[in-house]
Amino acid sequence: MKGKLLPLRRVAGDAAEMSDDALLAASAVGESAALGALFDRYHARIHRFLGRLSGTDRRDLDDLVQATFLEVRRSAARFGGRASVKTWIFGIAVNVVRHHVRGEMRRRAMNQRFAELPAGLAAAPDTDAEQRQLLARVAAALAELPHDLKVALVMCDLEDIPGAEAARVLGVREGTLWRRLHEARKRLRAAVKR
Amino acid sequence: MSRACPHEVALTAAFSRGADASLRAHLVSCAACAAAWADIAQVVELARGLPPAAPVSVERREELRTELLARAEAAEPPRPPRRARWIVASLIGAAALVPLLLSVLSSSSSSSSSSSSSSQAPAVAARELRASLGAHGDVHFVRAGAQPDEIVRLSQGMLTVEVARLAPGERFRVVTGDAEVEVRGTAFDVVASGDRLVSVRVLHGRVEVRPAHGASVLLAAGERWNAPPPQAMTPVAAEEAPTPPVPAPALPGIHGVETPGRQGRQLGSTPAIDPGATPVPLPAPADAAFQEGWAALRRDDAAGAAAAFELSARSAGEDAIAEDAWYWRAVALARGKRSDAARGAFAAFLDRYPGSPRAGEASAMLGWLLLTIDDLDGAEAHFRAAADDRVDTVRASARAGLKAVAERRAAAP
Repeated sequence: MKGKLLPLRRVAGDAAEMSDDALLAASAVGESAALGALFDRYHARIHRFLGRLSGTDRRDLDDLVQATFLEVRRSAARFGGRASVKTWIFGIAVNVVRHHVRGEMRRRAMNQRFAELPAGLAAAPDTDAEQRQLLARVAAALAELPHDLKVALVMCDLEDIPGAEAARVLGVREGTLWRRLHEARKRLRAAVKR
Repeated sequence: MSRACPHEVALTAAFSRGADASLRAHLVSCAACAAAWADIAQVVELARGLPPAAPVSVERREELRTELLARAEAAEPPRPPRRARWIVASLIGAAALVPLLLSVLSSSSSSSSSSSSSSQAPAVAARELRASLGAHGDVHFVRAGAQPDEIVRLSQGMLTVEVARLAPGERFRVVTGDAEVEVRGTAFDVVASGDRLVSVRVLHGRVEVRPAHGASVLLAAGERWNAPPPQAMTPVAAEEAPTPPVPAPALPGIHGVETPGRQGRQLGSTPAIDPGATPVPLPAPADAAFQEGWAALRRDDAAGAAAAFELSARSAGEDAIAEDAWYWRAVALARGKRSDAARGAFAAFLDRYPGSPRAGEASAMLGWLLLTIDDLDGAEAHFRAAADDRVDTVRASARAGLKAVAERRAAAP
């Protein structure tokens, strides 16, 4: 009996050539490699999105990212193609955060933590004090927004997701999405002018 | 005024969609709407200026990925769609994709999958495989394919694989990020670290080892193949490492602690054998300490991990595992907030292993560490060294680092 070790091969990155839809379809039948490829493709953006949406710490953020992709796998077969796969994954992340906020986050002094100066701002010596204070007020106002308003603002203004697509994955009418976005911007503007 | 003032909600929507010609003309002539538009722009700009959550490091990302896929394997299967025709469509579509995925899997680690098993897991018979798998310590692997082309994707740790006799047309492979092991009825131990094949030890049967560079070696039962150590250093990297290397004296007598049954034999008339490809035993203390280092990292014991990786590296001497151990020691120091020590460790790693596949990651991490002490020249040099790395996230980190350096310089008085 004889085995064979084949010549070493470097990473070719072929997964990048597969469409999101193809990877999602494969995930729908439990193909782990496809889920891994989707994770590779969107992990960083989902991590950033969830960070902005939840304001939670790193460990919780990691959990939320994992929960999002587990739900992606669980629901992959129900993807209807009404929005892009990317936006659909963002929609799942929104629901994951909503569930998280209702549960664990309720037990924490969320507002107090959110009102603190973001660590990245505090560590930036080249940002003048006035600008830092302004950003801190915006950060606090964003953290205090009701969930639906915050989702609208983060999706449309920070993640550049088209409003119509965002409305579809959130299950609301487009007009509702715009009203939420308007209200969110108004509250942030009030914080800036305070 | 070119048109009636839009409702404020409509203005909000228009800001996101982009103003049409009519609205643009209106904004020129209507001070109130122009002011509202400017307010929206200011708020959006400020919100975009908020710092995002700290980016995830390359190694943490790999841990998350591994955990995710392990949980996915253990979780309930995907939900069926609501309508029967969707079930049919999805299955047909996915079935068509599986061969493609497997081909991707065999040529790319980026589409790989993995799972973890607890320490000292007993050998388990694979339900759909012709192999029994025995996990040693903390192992990340997943059964990624079924007969007639079974694949075990191994990214980290050690597996003992016992392959039953395969029927005609059946295959069994162990895949890492840089190699495949294909067998036809044998048993062997296979070790990977950081998605790279580290060693193969044949328990019974025979395995032919054909590294990309160097001579082929025929291994018989009891013999071992280790990945070759990195090649010569480059002067550029030596100049870029500003801190003295971490001393790493090999402990005497480590090589040969586990005497192999016999040495591998060179096959054919291939060029001179790479000494690193010669079958030698993997030093047991180095292996054990490396596994302990990983276990410590996973329980957030950065100090313990750094100590274990250092022990592993010193025990390994010139063995290939030393490269990984020194790298992970530096990562553990950084994770433990021991920035000065981490800077020295990364610099030493780059000095010692400039050709390492991890050189880009190490350079990027060192660049960020140097940025924290305002060593802009040093940071820039290391970000540039990482800018062409083969890993997307490393290149992105390097680009972000270069941008940060430029911003610091621009802001300097």
